[in-house]
Formats: sequence, structure tokens, C-alpha cells
Amino acid sequence: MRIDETHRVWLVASIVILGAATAVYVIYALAAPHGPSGGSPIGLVFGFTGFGFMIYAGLLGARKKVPIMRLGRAQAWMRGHLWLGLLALPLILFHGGFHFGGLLTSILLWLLIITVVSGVFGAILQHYLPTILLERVPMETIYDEIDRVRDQLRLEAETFVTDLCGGGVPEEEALALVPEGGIRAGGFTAMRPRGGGGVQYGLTEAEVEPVRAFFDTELFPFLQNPGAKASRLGDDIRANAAFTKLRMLVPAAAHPVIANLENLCEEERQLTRQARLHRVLHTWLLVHIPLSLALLLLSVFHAVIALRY
Amino acid sequence: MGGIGVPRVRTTKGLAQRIDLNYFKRPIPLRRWRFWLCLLIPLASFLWLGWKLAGRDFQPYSSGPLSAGHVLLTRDCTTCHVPEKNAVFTEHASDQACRTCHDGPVHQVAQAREPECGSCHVEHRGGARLIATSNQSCAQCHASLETRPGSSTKYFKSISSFNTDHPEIAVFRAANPRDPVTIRVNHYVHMKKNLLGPHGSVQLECKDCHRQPASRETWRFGSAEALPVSAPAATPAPGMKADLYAPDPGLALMSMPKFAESCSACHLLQFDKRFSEQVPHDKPDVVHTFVVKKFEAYIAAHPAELHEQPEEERRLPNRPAPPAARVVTPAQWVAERTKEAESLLWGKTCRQCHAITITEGVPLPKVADANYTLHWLSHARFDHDAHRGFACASCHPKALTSQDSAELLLPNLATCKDCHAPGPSHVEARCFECHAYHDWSKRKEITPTFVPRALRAQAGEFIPKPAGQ
Repeated sequence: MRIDETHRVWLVASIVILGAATAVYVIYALAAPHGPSGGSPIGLVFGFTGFGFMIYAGLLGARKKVPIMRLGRAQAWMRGHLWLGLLALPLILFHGGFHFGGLLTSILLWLLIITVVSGVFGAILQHYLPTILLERVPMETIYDEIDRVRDQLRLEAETFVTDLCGGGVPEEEALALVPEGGIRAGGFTAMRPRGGGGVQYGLTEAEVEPVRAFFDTELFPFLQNPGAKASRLGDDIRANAAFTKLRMLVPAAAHPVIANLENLCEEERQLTRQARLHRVLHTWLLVHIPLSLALLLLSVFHAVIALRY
Repeated sequence: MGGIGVPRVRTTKGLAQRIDLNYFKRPIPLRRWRFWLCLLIPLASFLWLGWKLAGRDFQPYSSGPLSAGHVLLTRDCTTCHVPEKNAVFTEHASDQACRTCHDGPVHQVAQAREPECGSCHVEHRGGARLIATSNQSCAQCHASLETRPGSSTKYFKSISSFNTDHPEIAVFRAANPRDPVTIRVNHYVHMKKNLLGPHGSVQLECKDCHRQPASRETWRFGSAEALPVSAPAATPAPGMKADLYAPDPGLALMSMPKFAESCSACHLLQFDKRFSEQVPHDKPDVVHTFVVKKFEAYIAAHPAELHEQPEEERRLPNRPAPPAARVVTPAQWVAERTKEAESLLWGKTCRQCHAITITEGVPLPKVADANYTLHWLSHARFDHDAHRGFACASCHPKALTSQDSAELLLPNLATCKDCHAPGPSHVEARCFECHAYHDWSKRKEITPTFVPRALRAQAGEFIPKPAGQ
């Protein structure tokens, strides 16, 4: 979610709440005989308010589980999650008087700090990365389908090379990529003329041999393992140089096929970039969500025990 | 030559056709990890708490470490957290639990309300001293002092802290503050350089006269001969109250300077040229008895002196001629010599320091009570030992110049505030530093209940059985 002008109301409300809470805390801390304490009436108000904010922030996950229920707009929930979750940290610090206390309260405070900091990190990522993704990965696809699209790209590359140089893709491999429920033509409408050995391009086998060699030694390995750092096709500039050199080795009639292969390589690189950005964009959730759940659970324990004793 | 390749074209339909519409049903690693972590981390924390609870280890729930004095109770929360009357759920630490070990006597009978122990002595704050209460603890009553209906108070009714509105030390609040002591001591003369001492010139130091009772240093100007004969050394000299000599057994207060320890080496109590001995520093009747005995013994040993010859060489011009040679009885001789000696003592030697009243018709003079003030701070305590690193004159500057023993040499509140103030470059200035809340004179003894070994075992420490059990 981008933090834009639609967050203004939340931002202003958060600043007002934080300002008021800080003012109350300062007065209370100066007047409290032994400094601020979580068990004092004002300390309890801070504690319960902070805990309430944490619960609200935690309910975002529950809200996502029931998207069809009319419980407010998802964006409103997300904004509340961001701002109230952020406010929970200072309120809980006010609750404890900036002391970590005993073992359980120390764990709780560290969990809260890690959760909030990871949340802020995630919010920053969510603010910037989608734009970067849009700019740097125009050929973006659904993340879960990246592997499948890669298979299709490899098949497509083989088809291009076979069309130009002869040979063919094994029938069973081609069929394996057809989704259940129907035959799909693939992402690119390339009304490719079928034939063999470059005949349709008016090229001899010797003339297209550099393309076959390039495919066998560089392109196919790259498409099979796009993450391999050794491949120069993984780098925009070096890939461009490789294809320019290839063009110089073959007649101009083969250049459209090389252009297609180059485009295919570019898409592969973008998919790699997308996968990397996607991991960055979502890995922090592995810290944020489990720890926030533990935080809520232990907070309930803490509240019960603290009120009792 | 001449085949035409067709460029790749991205169309929405084509892109859509690449996607497996059931892709969201497939598990992906990131989501799987998230699921398991969301399950395992809260579960682990839940199991941890349950495990601690099952082992009756309540330490994780403690809001912080106990103070040093209570550390043995760390694992036994129920020592202090006992169920309260009429309380369904709560088990707060109660005053009743505190009184199991500590009988904190009441502060003032007339105080409007008695705060709970925990409102001043805050536990679970680590090694801090529980006695180190905050100013606000005191100010909750003293900022606007109220008393029980029907009672009144002589104390200031609005004191918030030492550095804001604390009144001046009581003795300085008088119109003309004076030291009521009757002993005459010229501090200026005594602190002068090259003062004539028993063995040449000396430079006196404050500690030559003023020390704490527990001090074991040898006195520079003391003399065992000058001890009063009527009482051992530890008891007061005439006219002194008993507690002035031993105000406390420690190092907090200065005891009253004693003649035998501080003065006797220079201030000799000789009474007659015939004797090298001095009279004891004691009550007039003791001194009188001593002098009479000395003269009686002397005349018994020297009967020739009963035949008195006029001393021509001592005759002054234009004065009546001395009586002719005469013979006196021993009693007469003793009486005359005693009168001369006592005239010297009462009129000069003793009077140099003591206020002596000689009344016509009364054989012995009256020595005024020293009226020495030991506790200048009637409602506070001061510890000289805590300030031992500081030169005496840095707080008592007048002690170097004062020529009048009635001049008050006590430092006032401003002197204290030079060091005792809020802020990082000053020392503690909270009320408890000088004032005690509980009136320990009303303390009651408690019945001991705890067994250290049991507490240590409760705290998880392995306690080997004593030999033979």
C-alpha cells in the first residue's frame, strides 16, 4: 500500500493521539511519586489503549480471511493497521515507563519493537517496491506462475530455434505444458511458419549454425537456470553484446528470430527480477506476522497476571 | 535468402492464456513458511508459559527484579502477594505481608492518612534501596499538610522538595540565632598559626577537638592526668548531659570536645606553686576536696611552713606593711592556702572557659551548664562520616574567624544546596537523605517466621543437608 495523501486523516489523527498521549505521559511521569508505572491508573489506560491498537492491527489478518463480509473497506483496515499499529509502540512504552521490567514484559516489549520495526520496514517496501516493479519489470506476471511461464519461455525459444535451424521439441514436453481444460496458445501470438532447417528463411544449415550453437551453449542453459551468475545473458548489457555479436555471425534473414530470442531473454531476466523483488516485498512478513501473533497471545497472559498481582 | 521472422507480440489474451487458473490452489514456499511460523511461534510461547506455570516458576511474570534485601523471596511470590479480604481476583502485595518482617511505626499521630507501604517503597525495581523514596512520596502529604480533625501541627504546611520550598534550618529561623553554649572558646585564636602549644608552636586542626565517638585516633593535645576523678572517661564532665559524650556509637555526629582529650595539654589546671599536679577537671566540690587534701598532706610533711615570715622582696612601695612573722595552725594554713588556690581557679583558670557564678556567703561557685547542642537538626539527621572527604571549613567557614562562642557556626541550608540539588552534577537531594518517615522509637518487635535455608531452596538453590542429618 502506498502512503499517499489518502493517509492524511490517519496521519493527523495519529499525530494528535501521540501528542496528547505524550503530554499526558510527561505530566504523569513528573507527578508520579516513583516515576511512571504500568500498574498505575494512567499506566493501565496506556496499556489497555496500546493493547487495543495491537488487537485492531492484528484483526487485519482476520479481516483478510473473510473478505466477503461487510466489515469496512480493506484499505481502511490497512490504514488503521499501519497507523494504530505504529502508535501501539509509544503507548506501550508509556505504559511501562520506558522500563523493560521482568522477563515476560521484556519479551513482550522486544516482540512489539521487532513487530513494529518490521512493519515499518514492510510499509516502506510496500510504498516503493511496487513502483520499482512497475518500472523495472514491465513484463511482470503472477508470482506463483513464474516457474510455469519460464517453462513456456524455454519451449518458445526452442520453437524459434527449431524453426530456424531444424530439429524439434519433443511432443510429450510440449503437451506437458498445456494446461488442463484446454489448449492454450502461449503468451505470444507468433504465427510462426512451421518447417525445418531454415529453408523458409532461405538459409543454409551452415549459416544458422551460430544460432544453434548459441542456443545450445548459452541460451538454453540460461533459460533452464536463470539464476546462474556465470551466464552473461543474466545481465542486460552483456546480453545485448552477445546478441549483437550473434547478429554479426548470421545473415540478416535470421535477425528477426534473434530479436525474438533476445526479447525472450529480456523477459526471463525480468521474471528473475520480479521473483527477487517479490521475495524482498514479502519475506519480512515471515517475521512480522508470527511474532505479532505471539505478542498478542503473551500480552493476554501479561494483562491477566499483572491485574491479578 | 528471404524468410521473414514474425516478432513476438504481447497481447492480454495471450498473457492470460499462459496462466494456470488454479495457480492459487498450489502451495508456495513463502506462504507455507508463513503458515508454519504463525503456528509454531505462538505455540512455543504458549508452551513456555505453561511449562513455567506447571513448575510453579512465576519468575517470568515478575514485573522486575526484587530489591537486594528481598532477593531470597524471588521465587516465592505468595510471601508478599497474599489474597486480600473481599478480593475475588486480585492478590496485590499488602501492608500485612510487609509487617510480617517490618514493623514500620507510624510517622505522626496527627497525620491525616497513612499511605500503604508500597506507595513509598516500590518493589520490583532491581537493586535500588527501598528506603530511597521519592520526593513526591513525602510531598503527597507535605505539599499541603493536613492533620486529623481536632489535631494541629507545628510544621510547615507546604514543602514539596528540598530545592524548591524547603524552609531554612529551624535554628536559623530565629531573629538572632545564637549558640546557647556557655563554654567560652575563641575559634579564631585557636586556629591561628604558631599557637603556643605544650612543646612549642602548633597549628591546630578541627579534629584536635571535634571528632566522632567511634574515632580511634590518638588525641594530640590530650592528657590522662586531666581526667575527672569522679567518673570514668566515657562519662560526661560536670554540667554536661550524658548523651553529648556518646550521641551515637558511630561516626555520624561529632561528640562534645572533652577537656581531657582536647584542652588539657595546653590549659593546665595548676593551683599552687608547691604542686606540679593539677586539679581534676571536675565539679567544684571535687576540686575543693582535692585541693584541701593536697594542702593537708603538704603541711603535714612540711610543718616548718606554719612559721610564716613576711616576704620583703615582694613588698610593694606605698602599701601597708605586711604583718609581722606569725605562727598559724595547720588548719588555718590549709584554709588560707585553699582560699588562695580557689581564688585563682574560680577567678581565672576555670573562668577562662566556664561561666562561673560566685555568690556571697556560698563557699563554692556554681559552674553553668555547658548547654552544648549536639543535635542542631531536630527533625533531620546529618552524617559527618558521609562528608568526611570535605574540609571542615568548607561547610563551617566561620570556624576560622569566630571569636564569640555564641556565634552560630552551623552551615545553613544554602551550604547544603551547593551540593545537594537536582541534576547530574549534584548529589542526591531527596527527602529521605535527611529525614526518616517512620518513628523508630515506637518500633515493635516482630515474630520471626522465615527460615533462610527454606527460602534458598524455594529460590531454586541446591542446599546440602547439614552433616549428621
